Amino acid sequence: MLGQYLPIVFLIVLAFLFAALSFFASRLLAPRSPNDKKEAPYECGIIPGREAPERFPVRFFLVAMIFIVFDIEIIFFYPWAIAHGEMGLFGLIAVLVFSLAVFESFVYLIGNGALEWGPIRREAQTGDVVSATRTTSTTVSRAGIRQVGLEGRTGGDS
Amino acid sequence: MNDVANRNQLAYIAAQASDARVNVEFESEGMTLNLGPQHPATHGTLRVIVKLDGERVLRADPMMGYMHRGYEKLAEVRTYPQVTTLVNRIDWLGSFANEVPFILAAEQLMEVEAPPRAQWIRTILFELSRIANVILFLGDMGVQLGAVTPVFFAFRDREFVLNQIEAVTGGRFHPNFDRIGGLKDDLPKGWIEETTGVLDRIRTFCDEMEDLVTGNEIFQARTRGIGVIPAEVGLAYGLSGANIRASGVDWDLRRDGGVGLVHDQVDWKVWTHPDGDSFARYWVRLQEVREACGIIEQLLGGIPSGPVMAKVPRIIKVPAGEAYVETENPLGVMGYYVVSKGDLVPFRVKIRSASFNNISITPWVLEGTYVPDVVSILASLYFILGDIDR
Amino acid sequence: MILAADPLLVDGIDLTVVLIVLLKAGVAFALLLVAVMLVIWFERKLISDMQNRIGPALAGPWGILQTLADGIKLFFKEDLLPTRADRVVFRLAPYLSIIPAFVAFAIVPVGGDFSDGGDGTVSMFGRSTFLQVADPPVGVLFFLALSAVAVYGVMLAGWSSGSKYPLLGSVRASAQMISYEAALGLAIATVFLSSGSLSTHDIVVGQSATTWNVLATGIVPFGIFLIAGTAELNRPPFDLVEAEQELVGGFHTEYSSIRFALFFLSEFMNMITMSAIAVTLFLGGPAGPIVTQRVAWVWPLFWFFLKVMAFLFTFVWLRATLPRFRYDQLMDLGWKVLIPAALGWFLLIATLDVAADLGWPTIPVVIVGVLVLWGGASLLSGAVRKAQAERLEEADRGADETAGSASGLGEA
Repeated sequence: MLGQYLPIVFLIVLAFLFAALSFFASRLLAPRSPNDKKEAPYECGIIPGREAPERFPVRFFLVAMIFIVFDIEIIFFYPWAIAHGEMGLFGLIAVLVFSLAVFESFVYLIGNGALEWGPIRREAQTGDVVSATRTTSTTVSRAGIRQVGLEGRTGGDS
Repeated sequence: MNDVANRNQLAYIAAQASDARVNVEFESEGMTLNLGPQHPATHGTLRVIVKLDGERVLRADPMMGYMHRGYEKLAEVRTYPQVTTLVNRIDWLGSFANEVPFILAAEQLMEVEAPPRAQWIRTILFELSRIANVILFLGDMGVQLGAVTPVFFAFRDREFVLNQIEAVTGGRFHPNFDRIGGLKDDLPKGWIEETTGVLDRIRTFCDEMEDLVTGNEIFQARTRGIGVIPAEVGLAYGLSGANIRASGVDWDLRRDGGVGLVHDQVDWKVWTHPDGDSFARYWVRLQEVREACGIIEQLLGGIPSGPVMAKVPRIIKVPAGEAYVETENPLGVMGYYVVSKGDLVPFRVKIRSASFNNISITPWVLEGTYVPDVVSILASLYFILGDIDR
Repeated sequence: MILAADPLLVDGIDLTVVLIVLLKAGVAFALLLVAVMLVIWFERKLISDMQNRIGPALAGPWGILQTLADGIKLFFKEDLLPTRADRVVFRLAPYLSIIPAFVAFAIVPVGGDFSDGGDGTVSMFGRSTFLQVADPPVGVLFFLALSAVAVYGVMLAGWSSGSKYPLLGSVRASAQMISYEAALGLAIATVFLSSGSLSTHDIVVGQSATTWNVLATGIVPFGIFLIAGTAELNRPPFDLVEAEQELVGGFHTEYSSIRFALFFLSEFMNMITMSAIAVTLFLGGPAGPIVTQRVAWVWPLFWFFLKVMAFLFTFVWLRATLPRFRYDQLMDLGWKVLIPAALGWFLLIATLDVAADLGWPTIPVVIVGVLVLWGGASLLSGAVRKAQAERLEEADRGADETAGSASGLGEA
């Protein structure tokens, strides 16, 4: 039976050779003149002052945990899906009970906000700083500035 | 030789030290991320330092000045007609609109007034540059959210507007066409009919944007309720233009305080939106492009005859005095405070550019948002780097 | 139950068999490389057409050699290793990305006559074999395993770069890819109900006997597979991993030269493989409506090609049309919509299947099943609403506290 995997082994070897030979060719062909600035990590032209953190927010790991639950469910589903004809009612009930257990815990997780990510709608935080009826003529003080060239102009600068 | 090397070294150390100070200020748990100066989303060299918790922004700080070109100081060693060449590089997408407030200020000081025909053509070009500027925003907003197609449509249709500007002024990007006391030249033959055709094209573009972008569910989910700026906060930070109108403030200098331009001669509407979010800013700009088309169309129908240049001495010497003129430019309120001591050159030019104030709200509005929204909020505030740094 | 096996490899392995296997692996390898080249060109040309551009036009006729030119250029680029990178892992990551991309295609049947109960064998040098590189009995599981390995390529690439943008990109990538892998796996499970086998060859044979699985499983799993597949490929609108406007290059920001080229290649290879798997699982593989007697061996290849092209076109079309999701919207779609929907649909179809076997009346079973699903859905949406309300409340409380302390400071 394992003979069926022979072509896959061949393909893996071919792909590996392709990648390795590409690196080799690139090494032969490409210029090499590294300097500090080239090798600095990219951060939009600023040389970063600190190491990139190696810790991620815990939320991402929570997703990974929930994923494992579902992955296990999938792993149980596949054999049953293939053999569901032979297993009949018993198999169906077993799978339904199992799914119910997973689904129930999933709903519990969601209800506790384990998968709440996004921004919350932000409400106005400042009170009345300036009235909304403000215009330039009410707030810009023009004391002491000689206003010229306004004579005879329709509209004006008032 | 040694001196130069030393100086370079000192400058480098100083730069590093200032970076370090900024970094220390942000030092604590979480990750500090520099968005910019070399970042695809800042279309230019804006640097926003954000402190992240996961992908949530705890604090954001815009750093400006990576593109400072010193126009205010340079203007002090240029004669008045030469200054327009400088200033139309401030907001490089709507260049003509940059020249207008400076020229108006100089005209105020010299006590001359452009003939009516020049005022009308000025207003037409002013609105054309608004269209050329804002339709690029309409396309770019899509790009910042990951939909690349709209911006190509925007570039395609902007060409037609630029063609019309070029036909009048000879320059596509930097016309330098406005003169103290009028305009350099009159309109070419057949220009009015062509422009009417272009306006139809732009209206079609607006409809296209409404179908392709505004109605898209993902676009709405990404922009509605995101980056909400209440009216009071926006006014406190000095927002202007479509950004403040999107927060429901009905304030437009074209209607409320304009000098020198003839927006009061035509029938048009100032659009506002009550929500103050990214979507509202997009929507208001979209309506403004349509409105600008309407303004131009009405103006084209009634350009008065006469000269395009008032009687102005050949060598322009501006009498001593001060003037501040602001207009409603594509990005918001742009004002020039010009002080003259009676020389060939201005004594002092202070430029109030819209984007500088518009971007100053970023620490407030970005706090508590997420990295993808940082990009969309910055895009919806619509800044042009040249307009921030001058 | 049949256990699939390539007749070539069943009775002993001699030199001819090894040569045939080598030939098949070599042809598949070359075919994939050429196909990737053409697909990249196809995508660029098509998307530029949708965007009023011309696209690549200079290298070769209609720019068809553009990808080759780009690839050759990358060989001559300097290969940089960032100072803070974890050297071993940084070098390992491209291998982890490219090898699964190559190997996953092995299980796809690309041709062979499946019409009129044909078993899809072709004869090659006097031996009969399938037109697919390998047909392991756990075929689809093998594909899922490889796509799980590919997650490591992306994750380690970002993590080992020692830089912030790739790190963010790789965190996003790993969370996104595992989330959607669950949805993908559940959608595929429905296919097994009607096919009764994990082997891709048997799945295709099963479809030519009855109807294509897209109808047999009731469209829903196909839709979920398509969405989850797009997310698994990191294609727009799910391309948050390399969202250029946010994360610059995402996980491959620090990669240059040929290392970058390998990531790029594997991405497009995965796109081809995912399309091919979708065709195999849901659209009957190489089977097609028209098969003539004269050049019979061409038709299956043609139909297969046509169906894969339809998928590739859809992927490009999505990219030209849609803005990107935000991270939380993506996770919400995956966890709160696609996974429960796939799970519920799987249980519904399974119950119907078993009920039909037991001779129960169909209509009551459907009514009860739909009612139970509706109950589950409302339970879930209730939980979502509760979580959101709690979060909002908590945020309001937090805001009040900060406001209180701020005003306290003001008074002092």
